[in-house]
Amino acid sequence: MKIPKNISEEIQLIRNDSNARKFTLVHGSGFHKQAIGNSSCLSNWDLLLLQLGSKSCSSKNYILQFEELT
Amino acid sequence: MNSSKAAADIEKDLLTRVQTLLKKETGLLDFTQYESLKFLFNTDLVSDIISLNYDSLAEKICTVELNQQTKVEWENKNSCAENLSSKSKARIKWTTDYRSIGNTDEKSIRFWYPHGNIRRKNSIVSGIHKYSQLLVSFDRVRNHYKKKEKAYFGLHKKPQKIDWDSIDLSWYSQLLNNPVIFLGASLSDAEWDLWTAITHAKRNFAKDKNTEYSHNMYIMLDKDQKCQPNSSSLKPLFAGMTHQEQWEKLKFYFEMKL
Repeated sequence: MKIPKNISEEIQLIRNDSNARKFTLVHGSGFHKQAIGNSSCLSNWDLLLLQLGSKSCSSKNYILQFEELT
Repeated sequence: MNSSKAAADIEKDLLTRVQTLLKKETGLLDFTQYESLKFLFNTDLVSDIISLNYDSLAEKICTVELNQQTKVEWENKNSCAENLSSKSKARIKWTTDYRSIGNTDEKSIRFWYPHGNIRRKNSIVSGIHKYSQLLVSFDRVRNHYKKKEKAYFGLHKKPQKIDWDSIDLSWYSQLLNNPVIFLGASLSDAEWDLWTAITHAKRNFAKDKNTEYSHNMYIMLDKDQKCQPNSSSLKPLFAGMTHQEQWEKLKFYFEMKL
């Protein structure tokens, strides 16, 4: 089977071929960010960690930041 | 640092608070704000959603969108955890359990939570210890898949049509056997389970005769980013566009009538 070159071809293939595999979507907090912006603990992990008691902010290593709380 | 409690107990308390905070935040939301993202729950195009978030909001929106009438339960069609001790079994079961939204198999979407879900507090993957456990359990899931794959192709020498979902069903199998789109997920270096899965998805079909079974993986990148720095396996979803433009363009393609 020919592998589609881009997302547009990919969608066309799924629509035209009933045997084609459908998409698996992987989503993270950007899903919430797109809908409600960055000011919720759903879309912003820094806010979630701050509410849990984190003192450091925006380390971008959320796993270590969480670890510091324990 | 609270020295009167063991770290494991502090972690348990923290997870309870994560659960409470996210439930509360979800309860306060106006769901109409998610109107522009409903296009994603298109059962003609999407079969699986892997959520890296702990909350269940996407699933809730999908439940309304697909008019799910009955109560949704956790399901599992994966035999990987069968012969394991109860402790190892729990972690693997959490990552191979899914929740199917929709009223028929063809018109439904499975939701997977490899990093845990607030419905199951202990499944939430947070600190270093849990992340390292995740890698071990992922390896088991992957080895299990390989075993089942070998058995399937041993039984079906030259199949006319491959029933991929009957080989194995886990978030890993759905990453391997479907075209994938990473949306609003920046994939940090620490997400070793995902990086390992992405790498294995490419390795699995590396032989020339198997490349026809491989699928593309797309990722939404920042406008100026040409590729995900730690992987050449991921193609930009739409190059040179802002996130907003990419969401809109994807919506356009998803809703396009032929």
